[in-house]
Order: sequence, then structure tokens, then C-alpha cells
Amino acid sequence: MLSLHNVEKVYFTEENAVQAVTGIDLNVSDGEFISFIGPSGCGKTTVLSMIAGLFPPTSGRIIMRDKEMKGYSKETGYMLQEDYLFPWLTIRKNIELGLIITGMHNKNTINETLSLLKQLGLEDKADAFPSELSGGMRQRAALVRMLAPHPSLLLLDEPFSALDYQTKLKLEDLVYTTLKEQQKTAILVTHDLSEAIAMSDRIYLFQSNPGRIHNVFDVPETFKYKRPLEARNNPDFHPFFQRVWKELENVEVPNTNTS
Amino acid sequence: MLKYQIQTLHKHYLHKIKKEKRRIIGTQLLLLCVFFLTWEVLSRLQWIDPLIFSMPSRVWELAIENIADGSLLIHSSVTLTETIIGFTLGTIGGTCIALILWWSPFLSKVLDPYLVVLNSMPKVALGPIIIVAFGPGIPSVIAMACLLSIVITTLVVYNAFQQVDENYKKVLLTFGATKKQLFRHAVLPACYPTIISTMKVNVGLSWVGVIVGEFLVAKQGLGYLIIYGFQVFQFQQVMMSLLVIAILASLMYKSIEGLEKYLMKRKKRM
Repeated sequence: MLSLHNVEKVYFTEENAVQAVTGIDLNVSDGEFISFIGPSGCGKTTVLSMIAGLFPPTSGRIIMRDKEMKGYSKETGYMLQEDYLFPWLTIRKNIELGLIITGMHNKNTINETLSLLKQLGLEDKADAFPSELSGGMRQRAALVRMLAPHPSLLLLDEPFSALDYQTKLKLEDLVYTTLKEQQKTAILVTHDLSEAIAMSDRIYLFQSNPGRIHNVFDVPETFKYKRPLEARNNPDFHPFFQRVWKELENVEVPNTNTS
Repeated sequence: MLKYQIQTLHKHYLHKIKKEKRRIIGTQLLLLCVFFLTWEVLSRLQWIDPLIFSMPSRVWELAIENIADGSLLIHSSVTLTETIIGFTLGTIGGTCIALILWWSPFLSKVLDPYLVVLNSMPKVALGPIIIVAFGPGIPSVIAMACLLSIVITTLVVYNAFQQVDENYKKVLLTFGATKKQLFRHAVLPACYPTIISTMKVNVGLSWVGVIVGEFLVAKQGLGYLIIYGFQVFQFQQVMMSLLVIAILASLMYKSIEGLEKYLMKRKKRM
């Protein structure tokens, strides 16, 4: 459904031009769950933002469903590191925001969104303000907000990194099952290797200076289709973890800063 | 047993708060009384010149007289209307200019030095020009009040617009929001608290503008009463006008505070 061809992004500042990512080629098919991992500054988030249409690539092409992407596409939904629910709106208004912006705000879509909220166990919080919710609840509400306008490709930018460990594990499971149920395609950016392995089907390891894809790993079939919590308990999980970990170490070592 | 204890303790606590509140209000009233009483006594004993400083009893007499013949009401309402119009124009106008600057970064960069000059300039110095431009009357007074608050409103609100967390905008941009939607759904609501506090500052500024404007041109209003009383050496009139201004300005400030509380409450209740 999505393919990137030789995508490059250069940031310009007054002092210099920084090559953020270069030569990115990748393919994502329908229903796949992909992860980007790598050291900080390797351009994972840059690639994700370009797919979301937040800014265009300097060169190269991003093809979405056989069409070249120009800016925002209704196909994509984006989840940030923190929930960024608007503190001046109730949860109900917050999750309707995506519908309002995309012009899909009507009785049907509102009811659908509210039933999704119920499904994620936040029914009784609809009229609460974000400040009254715990971190996990807020991130669940942010998930509902993202899913409301029916995107088919979900871009997750370290959505679990601000949560405590227990909440994070639970939410990983919840996000995973919700996305699989709705047959969504997803790209997860994370710095947590075990999270990437537990959740995704395929892992792209990035290296920095300039950001590019170093290696691609297919997650073993034995736990690929299992929920994250089960996957973590699979006997094949750790050997695979070790393998990717070594590569990650290689990538992270000599990091001469050029910015 | 324990529950009973907690309840009594809570009652004690509430009682303590109530008592403290009463003490504060009591002291505040006492201070006010002491102030007027001292003024009265000093003036009667001629320790301060009663011709210049007048005394509360005379001011009061004059106030009663002016209320009875309706003149105080006319002067007060003229001034209050001018202030409210100037205040509203300044606040809304400043916010609109801030919006334009936010909308067009080019324009904001171009206008930046002019805004700095306008802001540091004592606006009162423009008085004569305003009078020439708007004629010697109420429009000039309103223009003065508006001018005093509009520049600072523009600067403060524009600054607040720029300080809005990028991530709130990013949330909307990932839904393909237009610039207008960004402003309406993220930037403006995020800045309501700043706009309210600017309004509080503007209350004071508009009063300054109106009174100065009335000093310069008016035939009516509390500022006019002050300058007239000064010229004919009628200082109880000056004092009376000052007291009325103090009361009206505080009321206006309090109503903005009330508005703020109302908005906060409504937000909580929704």
C-alpha cells in the first residue's frame, strides 16, 4: 500500500545543510506492522513525518496506493510521543477533533467514535478533562482520536515511551489487538527494541549520519502473529532479540557528530 | 468513631478558614475607615490645608448634591461608556492585529520595528495629533483609550500565539488541518488565558487613556470634572471624581475577573 523510493530529506539552517535521511527505500503491504528502530538522530521520525505529509521529501517519491503523495492524505493517522489531548476540551470533544478537521463530523461518525471509546474502556470518561485521566488513559483517548477519521495507515511515533512499564505493556497489547481487528497497517517508531520485536512483523534498523536503512529483519514466524505480551514469552523471542541487539550496537558505536 | 472524628476536624478546619476570612475583611474595612477618619480629622484640625485636600464629609455632601441633580450620573456614564468602548476596541483590535501578524510571518517581520517604536512611545504624547484627527470630542477620548491598550495587546497576544506548543498544531496537521483550523482549534483556545489577563491590564490602560483624553478635550466626564475642579479650585469635586473613578475602575476589573471565573467554571462543568 505504501512504498518509498530513494527518499531524501535535507534540512537547511543558516549555518549549514544537514542531510537528515538519504536513500530510503521501503515497501509496506496492507495489514503489515512495521517498526523503525535506531539510535537517536537517525531520521526515523523524519521519515514518519514525511509519510504523514507534514513536510515533503527533498527528493525521492512516496507512493501511497499507486498515487504519489502530495501533503496530507486521508489514509494516514498519526500518534505522537505524548497524547497532546487539548487540555481545554473534554475527552469527547478531543476525540471528535479529527472528525471536525477532516470534515467527517456527523452523527454516524460521532457514534462510531464513542463506541470505540467504550471499547477501549473509557466510556465513563467522555465528559472528563484530560487532566483528570492517567497517562495510559490519555494515550488510549489519543488512539481513539487518531482512529476516528478511519485512516488505514497508522504512524506511531514512540507512543508508549512516556508511560510506566506496566501501562506500556498493557497498552501495547491493546493497540496491537485494536489495529489487527480493524485490519490497519502500521508503522511504529521506537527506541525500545523489545517493543519493536513484540509488536511488528518487520523491523527496519536505521543508522545515523546521514540517516539511512542499515538492515531489515523479519520477525520469526513463531511469534509474529502473537500478541505482544505472548510474543515476549516465546522461547524464540530472546535469541532474535540478541541478534538484532548486536546489530544495533554496531550501528550505535562510533558516532562522530557532524551537526 | 474515626469518621466522626474526621468530621469534627473538618468542621474545625472550615471554621478556621471562615474566621481568617472575617479577620481579613474586618481589617480591610478598618483600614478604610481609619483612612477617611484621619483625612477628616487632619483637615478639620487644619493640619492639612482643607482648601486643597478638602475633607470626606464635604466630598460626601457634594456627591449627594450631584447625585440629586443627576450631573454625577451623566458625567460618570459618559466616562464609563468611553472607557468600555476604548477598552473593547483596544482588546479586540489588538487581538485581530495579532492574528494578522501570526498569519503572515512576512508582515510580522516587516512590522516588528514599528511595533517596538509604537510600544515604547508614550502614547499620551500623541494627544494633540489625535485631537486634530478626531476632532475635539468623545471620538478623540475613545481613540486615546484605544491607542493606549491596542499596541500592548497586539504584542502580548501575538507573543502568546507564537508560544503555543507546536505539538498541538502537529496533532491538527496530521489530520490535514488548514491554517484557519489551526488558529480556531489550537492557537486561539490555547491563548484564552493570556487574552483574559491582557484584558485585566487593558482596564487600567483604558481608564488612563480616557481620563487624559478628557483632560485635553472634554466638556463632560469625570476627567473633565477633575480638570475643571482644579482650575476653579474646587478640590472636593476633584476628590469626588477620583473616588468615583476608583470605584468604577475596580468594578470593571472585578467584572473581568468574574468573566474569567465564569469561563473556567463552564469549562469544568461541560
